[in-house]
Amino acid sequence: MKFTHTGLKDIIGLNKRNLEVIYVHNKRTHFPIVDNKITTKEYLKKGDIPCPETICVISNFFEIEKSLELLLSYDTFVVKPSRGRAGGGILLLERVNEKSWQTPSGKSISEEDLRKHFGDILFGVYSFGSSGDAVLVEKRIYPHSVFTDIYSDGVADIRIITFKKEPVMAMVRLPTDKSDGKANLHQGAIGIPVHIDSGLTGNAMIKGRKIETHPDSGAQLQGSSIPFWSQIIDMAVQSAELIPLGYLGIDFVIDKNLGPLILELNARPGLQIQVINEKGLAPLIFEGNNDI
Amino acid sequence: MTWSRKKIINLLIISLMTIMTVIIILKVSVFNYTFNSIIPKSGYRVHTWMTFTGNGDDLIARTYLPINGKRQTVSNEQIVSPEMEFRRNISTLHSSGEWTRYKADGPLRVDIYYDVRISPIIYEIDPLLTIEQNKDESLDQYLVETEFIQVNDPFIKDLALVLAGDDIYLLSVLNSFYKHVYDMGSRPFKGTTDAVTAAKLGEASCNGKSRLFISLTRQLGIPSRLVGGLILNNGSKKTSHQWIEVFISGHWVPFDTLNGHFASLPQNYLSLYRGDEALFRHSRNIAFDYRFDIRKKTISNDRLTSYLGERSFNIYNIFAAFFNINISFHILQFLLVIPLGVLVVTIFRNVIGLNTFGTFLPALMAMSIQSTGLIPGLLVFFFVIILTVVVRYPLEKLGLLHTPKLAIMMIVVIFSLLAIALLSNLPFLEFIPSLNSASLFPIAILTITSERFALTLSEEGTKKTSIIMIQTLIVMTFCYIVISSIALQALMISFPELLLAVISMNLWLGSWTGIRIIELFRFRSLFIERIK
Repeated sequence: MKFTHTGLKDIIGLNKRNLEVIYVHNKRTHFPIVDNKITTKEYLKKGDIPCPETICVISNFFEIEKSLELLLSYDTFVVKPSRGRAGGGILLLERVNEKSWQTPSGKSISEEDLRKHFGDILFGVYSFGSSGDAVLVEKRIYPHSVFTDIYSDGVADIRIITFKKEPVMAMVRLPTDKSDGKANLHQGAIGIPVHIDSGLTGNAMIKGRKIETHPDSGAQLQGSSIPFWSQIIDMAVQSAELIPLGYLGIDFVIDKNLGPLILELNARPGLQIQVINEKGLAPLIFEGNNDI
Repeated sequence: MTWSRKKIINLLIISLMTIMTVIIILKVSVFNYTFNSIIPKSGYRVHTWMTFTGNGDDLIARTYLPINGKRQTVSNEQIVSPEMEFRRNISTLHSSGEWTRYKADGPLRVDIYYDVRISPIIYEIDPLLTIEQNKDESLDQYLVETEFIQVNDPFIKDLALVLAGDDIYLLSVLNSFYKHVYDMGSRPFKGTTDAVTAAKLGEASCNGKSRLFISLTRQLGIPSRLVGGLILNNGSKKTSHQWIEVFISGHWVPFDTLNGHFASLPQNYLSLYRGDEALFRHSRNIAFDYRFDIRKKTISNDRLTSYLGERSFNIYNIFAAFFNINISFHILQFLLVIPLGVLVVTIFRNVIGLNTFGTFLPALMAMSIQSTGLIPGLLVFFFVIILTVVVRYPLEKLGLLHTPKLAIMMIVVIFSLLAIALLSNLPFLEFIPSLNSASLFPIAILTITSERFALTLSEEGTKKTSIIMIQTLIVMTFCYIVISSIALQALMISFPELLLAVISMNLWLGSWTGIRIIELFRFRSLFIERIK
């Protein structure tokens, strides 16, 4: 075991990120733009940047019944808390019969359950104590085969970190059974680094441990490249130009028919991407002088 | 962080620390503050209990109560004897308590509590000091022969001659007597042994040995006396102890021929009486039983307030203004250490990297268990958490909306806590920590903790919530240790300018961008390469 001294210097920990990156480059007044998915989509629309299509938005309790009626004509959709974090409160539903649906894991959801879920979201259960939230119902994403060939459940995403409108690091987050179909690294999803210039993927990791095959499907995880990469990079740059935040985490999905779409943006992107890329963010953000 | 901002922060830190250092130096060198008078010392809490059963006649019991001396300070004394009359007798040598019950019938009990701080002592006796005839009349009583101290018995006289001969030097005589008695075998304490018996048997308990030593020294005209007391160790005991004091050059110098202390005593010898007395005296036929429960504890210096009041440049006089509006010294002392508790939280979050419910909830939690203590406090929090989970489960099944569901949980938790507070007063449930003193604040904090726990359960799931809960309890424990430290409380109230250091530390932590300790583990693959 040996220490690579340069490695330690290059890592950005929470203290450094908060004090020297977020305080400096992300003004708190702009956080609501990216914290609220509905607002984010309005901004992205202005720049014609593709994102999943909105079916309806519920901002008040009296709108629930009308929305339920509207949803009768949809066989599948995704319910999201507009101000939710880390995928909390997101419900992907497939219709079973006129008054009930089921989730990918087979759990059945009645109309009553859905009503309650809308109520919970509006009350702010998933928005961390803020005084209420809105419901965003979107069309479902059908992931591109580059992901479904490896693992058929859940939706994989691509996270790109931009700094001062320039993409600096990227990774793919691939769901597993353990992560319950969610692209959440802390819950057991696989992280795969993506080379920012070429779109080529590197060594995959689960919870800090390198792996070569997907633990549930056994599929090979090495040596692919992300399709539409230059388009994704362009979309990242354009979004960074539209949003007045210097340090952004941008989450993409690739729909098999619609191509790359932006799912959401993040004003305080996590630091795990450094572990996945086996590289610290500091040299990419603090040019030369680390003691700014 | 831009250079100018960092410079300002550093400048602030330096100024604050300088001001603080100046004030402290001023207090210590010019205004006579000494740390020794401020810092609490380790001492003991002694609980003595006596039980008796009345037989219809008058019942009297007596025992000695410790008094302040050169080496010992007694404080916080509590005498609990609800069914008996209590009277205290004080003399220059010692103080005794007497409990009486007329026509006593049935079981009776006396509980005596006190805190005591004892300083160890070592005397150095000049080897050239000679044995001189005693000219002080008040010391004559310490030279006489008594029933058990047979000074003039031929056996004792011969022994003294053999050991001391014509020696005129006090130290060497004491050494020979000491060595002889100390080298004798020891016997466990069983009744009274007089000096002659001890000498003839060649072995004795502490009282036999002490009496023998004293009869030898009195033979040579050296005033000496018995001292009775307790050797304090954590735990329960029934044996008291006896040792010796010899009058040398104006001092009563202690010796223990059983445990081996020559002209010295350690810090756990508590003196209760002087002279050949019995520690307990009581009426006959009353099934008398007793015990000593002793616990080591840190005892605050209760002369601290007056000590501070006499010093210049203290804010004791500002405190007086608080006393007038009923904020006691005790509360002020407590309030002054809260910034330290909050600093503990900051260090745990920003340096170590733990995650807790609410930023300063751990500090509030630590404050709320001050009256119950740490372990009972942790138990109460565990209870509230389990209660929260149990109550939440059926409410979840009912499928209620979020805020009303939380409201029901809160009502149940609050009333359960109140019920516990009531129950803890029942005799057979004494082990339940009571929340009675300042109850509203702890109940409020417990309720808030329950709410945050339930909220996080809904939002993050069981595993993540449990991890955060454990981290919160860890931080709370460290906060508690800091806040309840008597030493820190004494320090902060004597040197409130130390708060400037606390502010400086927070200023420094506020601009520290280093890696948190937990992150070192999380990012370890980035800077440690394993050579396969």
